[in-house]
Amino acid sequence: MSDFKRIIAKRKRQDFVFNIVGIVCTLVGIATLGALLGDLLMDGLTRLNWTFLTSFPSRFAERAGILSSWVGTLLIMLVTAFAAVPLGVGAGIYLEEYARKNWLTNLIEINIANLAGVPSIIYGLMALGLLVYQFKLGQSVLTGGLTLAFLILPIVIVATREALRTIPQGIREAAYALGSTKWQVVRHHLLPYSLGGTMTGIIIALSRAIGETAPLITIGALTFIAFLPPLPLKTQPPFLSLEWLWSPFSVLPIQMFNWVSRPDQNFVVNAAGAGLVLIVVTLLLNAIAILIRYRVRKRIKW
Amino acid sequence: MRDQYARPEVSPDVAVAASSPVESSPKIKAEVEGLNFFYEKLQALKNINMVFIANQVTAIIGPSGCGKSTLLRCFNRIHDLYPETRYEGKIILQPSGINLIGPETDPLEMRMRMSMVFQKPNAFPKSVFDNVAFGLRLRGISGKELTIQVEQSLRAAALWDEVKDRLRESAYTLSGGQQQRLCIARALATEPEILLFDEPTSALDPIATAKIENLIFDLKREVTVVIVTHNMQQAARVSDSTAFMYLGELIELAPTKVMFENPAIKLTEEYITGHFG
Repeated sequence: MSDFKRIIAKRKRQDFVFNIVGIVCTLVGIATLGALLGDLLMDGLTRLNWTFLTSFPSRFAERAGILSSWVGTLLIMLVTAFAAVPLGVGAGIYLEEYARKNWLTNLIEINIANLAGVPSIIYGLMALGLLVYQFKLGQSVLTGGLTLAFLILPIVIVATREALRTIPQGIREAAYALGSTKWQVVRHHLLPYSLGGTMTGIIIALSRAIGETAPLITIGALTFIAFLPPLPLKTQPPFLSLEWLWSPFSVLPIQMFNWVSRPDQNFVVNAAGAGLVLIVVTLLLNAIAILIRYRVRKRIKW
Repeated sequence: MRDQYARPEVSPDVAVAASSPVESSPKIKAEVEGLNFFYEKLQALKNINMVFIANQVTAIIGPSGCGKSTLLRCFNRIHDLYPETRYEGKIILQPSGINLIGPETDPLEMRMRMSMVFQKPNAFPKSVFDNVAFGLRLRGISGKELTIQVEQSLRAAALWDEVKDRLRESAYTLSGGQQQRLCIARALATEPEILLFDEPTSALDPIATAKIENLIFDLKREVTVVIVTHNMQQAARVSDSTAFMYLGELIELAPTKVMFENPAIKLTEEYITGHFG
């Protein structure tokens, strides 16, 4: 009996020790994140105001703002989404539903998975060579958006395929058995049922793209830009204009990078302010992803 | 092991004559001739020859893996969705005389002419109405006509009274048995030539099962029914003819009463009496 008690006590000690170790590990992670956010808030909140959001960059820290960079970020994201979503979802559907399973599609599959892990600066180099020099798209919003679209394309493809795979095969068979063509099955069943997973993947991918700096610097994004791209709306017909696609641009992370590297301490505070805006936008994107997932899951249960 | 069982020729004529002693000449709905089916190199069906009588329920029984579902799934060409599947032989559909599995036949057309109810209820995660309407919309039916036909189908599937006030609700709010009857309504809506049931009650409780069995029994007035089941009591209750399959071969095809009371082949008797399977 006493032997039992001794063994039990020993094992309970082990349990207790691991419990403590676990708490410490968790705290290290949380504390780092907390310190980061706290520091950013303390520095950045003082600088965050309307003028900061509506001013162009300036040589003087207190007059400098992030207007051109947040507009740039917004436009780049717009191009990225417009390019990456149809391409990624289309490729995902093709690979999952249409393509025959053979060595070629296996090879493509492995490569797409690997592409998601390629360092982003490599995409920047590719875009510089292909989009800027070869296709002569310039160091423009279009080039920047397409570069980030290439970057997140694998994530969108993988997310689409994962979402399609969660749809039970019985649903496909039911739809085919009623006489649907492949496209009708995709259009009326697979796309709507996988929407939650796909949208979540897209937004996660976009929130990765929004923080990217290296590939955009590689293609030659500006760090100081005191004008906005032309408006997409015109007063004369055809009222819509795509001129903004060809405009030079800056984005929030590049603006931050630029400010942090200056000796003047006031610019570092500006960088913290811009960082706060970036974090808030990213968190918002994530919140939207969670909301969509929640709503779709409530509507569709397997 | 197969050799100890003599395998008499089950000629279509014998089966036809035997299966409906009352009627003088029952109409044949489908004739299966020398049907072989392969999953890659694995032969799942071996030289199947049998007939399906119009407006009758034909049950296909046999132990797991005997090929009964494979045979059923030939009828709506659902095998064509998967790579490395191959048919040999003929399934002649009457009165059109079309060879269902012929290379010249469009699988899509066959799926529009057949309907299948699957083992697990597989309603779409759409509303009750849209589930039944989907097949009709594929056939270009819309508006008032659509509403009428959806109601008719739900009535025919004995589900209308339970769902008439919740047509806009998700099909997933229905119980398992109701979902399976919804799948039957969806299958009936498109007015199939043959209604195929693939173990339709194996996921259901006894009460829901009884409802579906009654339904199948009533449906044969309108349509030819083929039901795959591993439940022999079910085959005895609902079917007019029964086919017993074993290891990809058709062992015996006979009127259900004959099959269960006086099977011609020893293997059939052993299976029916529960000696194996």
